[in-house]
Amino acid sequence: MSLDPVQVMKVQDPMPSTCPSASNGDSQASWDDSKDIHENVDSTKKPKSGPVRRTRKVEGGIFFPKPENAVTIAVSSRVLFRTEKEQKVFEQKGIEEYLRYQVEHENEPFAPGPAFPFVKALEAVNSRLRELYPDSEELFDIVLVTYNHAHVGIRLINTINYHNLFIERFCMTGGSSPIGYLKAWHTNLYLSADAEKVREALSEGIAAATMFMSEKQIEVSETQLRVAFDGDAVLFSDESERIFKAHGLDKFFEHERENENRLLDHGPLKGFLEVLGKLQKKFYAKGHRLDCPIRTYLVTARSAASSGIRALKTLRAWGLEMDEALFLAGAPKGPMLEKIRPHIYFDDQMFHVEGAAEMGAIAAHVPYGIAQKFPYIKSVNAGK
Amino acid sequence: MSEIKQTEVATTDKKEALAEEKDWAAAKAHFENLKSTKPRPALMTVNERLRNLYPDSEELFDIVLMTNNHAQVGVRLMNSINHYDLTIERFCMTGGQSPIGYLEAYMTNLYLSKDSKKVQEAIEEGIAAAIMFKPDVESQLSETQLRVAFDGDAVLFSDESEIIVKQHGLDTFFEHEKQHENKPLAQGPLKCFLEALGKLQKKFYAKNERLDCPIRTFLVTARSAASSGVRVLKTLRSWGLEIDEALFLAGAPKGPLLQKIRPHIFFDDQMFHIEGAKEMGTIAAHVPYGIGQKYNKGKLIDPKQQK
Repeated sequence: MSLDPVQVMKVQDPMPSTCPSASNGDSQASWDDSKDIHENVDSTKKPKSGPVRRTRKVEGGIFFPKPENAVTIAVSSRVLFRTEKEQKVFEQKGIEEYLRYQVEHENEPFAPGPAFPFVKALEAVNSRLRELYPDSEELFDIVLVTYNHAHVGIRLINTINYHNLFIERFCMTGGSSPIGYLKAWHTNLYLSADAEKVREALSEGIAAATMFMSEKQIEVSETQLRVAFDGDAVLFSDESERIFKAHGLDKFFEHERENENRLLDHGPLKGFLEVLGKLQKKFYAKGHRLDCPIRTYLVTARSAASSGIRALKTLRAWGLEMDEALFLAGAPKGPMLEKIRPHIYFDDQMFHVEGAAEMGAIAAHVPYGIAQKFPYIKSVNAGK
Repeated sequence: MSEIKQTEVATTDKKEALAEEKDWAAAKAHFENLKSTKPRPALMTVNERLRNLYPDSEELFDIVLMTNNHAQVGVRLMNSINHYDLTIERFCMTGGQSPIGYLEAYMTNLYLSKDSKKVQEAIEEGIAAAIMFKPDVESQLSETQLRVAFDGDAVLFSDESEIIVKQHGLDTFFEHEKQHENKPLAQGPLKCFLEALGKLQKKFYAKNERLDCPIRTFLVTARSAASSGVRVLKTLRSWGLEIDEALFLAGAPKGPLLQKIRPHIFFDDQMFHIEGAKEMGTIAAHVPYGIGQKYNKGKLIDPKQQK
């Protein structure tokens, strides 16, 4: 057995027991029903303790906001949950065998994947928003957008219920590209394990990033959503990156000083930072600046005195605030991120993403800009 | 082998526009103008592909023109049909009589009309039927793949769940669906049509053309996935039916997603969704069945206030 879901969950924060006890009676009955069907299936998996059927009340609150009003986060099944085993079956034995395998293991929930803590934190923010603004539709809305076939839907739904997530919008495209649907959902951020799809989404103007499962995972907060961004080629365009790669550090500093007051062009994740800022302002308006459940970080390799002003002036001109800004001047990002413990960290260079993952921070790669033409090979020093 | 038949009203409003013109020459000129826009009907493409793979099979799409018109109009209709290169060889010109009896005689799998009374009659007789609407905007449709989208409740499934939502609210509905997760829903008016499509799809899969199949089916439901989706998926599975793409909207508007799907036809029981689809260029067909007919945008329609 390659993966014991219970073990993986221990590394993360323990699940808060928020399931209303009133539903337990009902859930027992339905589990027994499905158990009978379960036992007839010929398979050699060990029986799990029944999935927790949560009954979340949806009346008396906004739980289904209109996509254009909400901050829509589209996630794929491979980043929300760990599906390596199933991926292998698909790659080695083909689609029919893969579907058969999924149906057989339908009542086995998947283990949490790299985007899982992020999604959980989004729900925490949603509860706080509903408390303060019970009639507002400006909430986080999570849509599962997956290549998977409808057969796998049942397993995905069972897993979502098992982990007590609230994901009610699904797009199971059965093999065709999901990118077209992203726009229809007014997606503000798309997370996937497939770099190709992410690139397609970026070219359509949708903020997107590729996530990877790392071996080590540090604990993250359950009450405060923390999002960290790289600067160039993530929040800003890659124009400065280009100068640096083409002409070196000195030329880069000169250029930045000369153009201090000229704004940088925006990058693929600027829009996402903007919507986060909008939600943050809602908390500030009700006097919750100090305990705001959303916190944003800028973690850039830029040097503060030599090239920092332009970045900060650009953010100011966009009307965007950043809670914390770290100018590293080339120092490794890993240790900083380990201290920050973001639910997600966006960077355009695989070098930094790998570094973050090594320290256990959840990192996502944004395949945008000139840095993609300089692929990072782990064994070689990606020198300046 | 049983024949699979389908009924369709040909060139919908173009026919109606022509019927009003008395001048044959003028009508011909109208034809000439339209010549440049001759789309290839999807059903014809599917039939071609089926004949390629199974030259001796009778399991094809068969289109029958069912019309209230008198036989005199037949010539004009046939000319239109030939002009558009359609293969419609079976006609039923009832000259004013109800076509319902003939639908049964033709073993109709799907009846499409603009007349809501006839469609309601057909549904009561157990024939899958829907009222067609023309979209407000044009959109490009595939000529190589037939795409059919279905709503879930009161179209593929019965309206039992719809009744619970309308009368008891969402929370009760979710409870009910969770409790009855493993009890299949009763079937709705269009279940048999999906079945017929599925049968044809399997013929393509059998010849290894799953990825390139010229029929694609979509479920576009307002249901919520985690809270009420399992019952739907388990029901379809218990019927042995597959659906290619499943979209659970949890109340989000269907229009934008349908615009991306670009189905050749979208079946829904609620006029609210039909209107939304039409506005964004989707060809929608209303299935006048179930409790949804008594509501408009979630509110009970007062029969006294109805026009």
